Amino acid sequence: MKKLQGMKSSFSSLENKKLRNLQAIKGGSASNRNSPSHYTTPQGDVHDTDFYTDDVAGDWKYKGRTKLFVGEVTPING
Amino acid sequence: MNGQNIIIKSLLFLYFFLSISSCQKKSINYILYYQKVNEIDSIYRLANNPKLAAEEYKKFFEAGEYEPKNQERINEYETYITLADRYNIDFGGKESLKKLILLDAQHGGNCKKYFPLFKKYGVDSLYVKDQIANWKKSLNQTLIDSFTIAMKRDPLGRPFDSAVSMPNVRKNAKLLIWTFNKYGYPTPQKMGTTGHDNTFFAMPTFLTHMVEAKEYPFIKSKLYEYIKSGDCLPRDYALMVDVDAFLYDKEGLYRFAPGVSTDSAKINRNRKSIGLPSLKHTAALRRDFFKTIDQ
Repeated sequence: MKKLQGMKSSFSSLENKKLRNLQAIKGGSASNRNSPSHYTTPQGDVHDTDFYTDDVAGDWKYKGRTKLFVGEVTPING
Repeated sequence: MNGQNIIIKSLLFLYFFLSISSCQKKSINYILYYQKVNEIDSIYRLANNPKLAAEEYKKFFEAGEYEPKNQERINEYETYITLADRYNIDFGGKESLKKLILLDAQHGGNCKKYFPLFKKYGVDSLYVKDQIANWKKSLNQTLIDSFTIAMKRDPLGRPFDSAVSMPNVRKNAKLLIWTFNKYGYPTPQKMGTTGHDNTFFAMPTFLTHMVEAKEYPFIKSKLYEYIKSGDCLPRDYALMVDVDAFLYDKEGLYRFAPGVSTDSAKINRNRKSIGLPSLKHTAALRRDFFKTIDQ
């Protein structure tokens, strides 16, 4: 029992060490925002979403736009 | 003799008049700036010759024809200074670093990533903080107030409730045109990138929504002028124009909307005409950008 408790504490300290480096988690240090749009056309509805990210807080960068048109998602060359 | 003098004087006057008017004609066209930067960036990123790129950047920026920018993804001024430092090329020291501080601040950055470089050239963190604080004081508060409101109302009702979003598009189009007339294009130099309550000025999305406004043709032509003056980013303009093309079945010009044109050579020509990098170059920039943010 004593041995088991010891193992548990070493596991959690290992986890804490890992969590301290947020860069190790993909996208862990950056936040993301998205902006959806919707347009009606004679051929059907078009949905756009713009994505922004900041890896330095407040330094927002445009990440990309996806377009959903009649059920198909397409990333854009931006 | 007197007559000759008069002729010489009038010829001299004509010469000066012509040289002044020809100077005025040669107004700044930032499309040429963007094209040159794309050319140099491709030496660095595609041809993988960073030293030559640094030398070319030095020639270009030292000519002083254009105030440098530091566009997202290309980061031309940052790249120039970093490479110049690496190859011991004189980039102008503190004066150039001051430009870099302001360019980074305009994008919402705090310059922390440059601190090792700054230290090397005798720029301390207090100086950086002062520069950023002074620049923030110079911002146009009216624009910050107005665009905070505009950016907050822009996503309301989206994506489905056009009864809410359409009146806001009309208000925002009106605000944009009012801004053009009173202050010119609302650049990050004038109002930063975030307003009150940490509201981010999402210009690509904001401008694209202008395709729904009845003033769109006017806004589009004004924005083209603002690309030339170096105020509006070609990318933001292209995102807007291609959405309009996609919605109304016109031919897409820059391939910022899918399936509209397969002619890559033509797309590349169109891209170049407003200062955007080619498709191949854009793909390399995307790759490097996502490598950085996914680190």
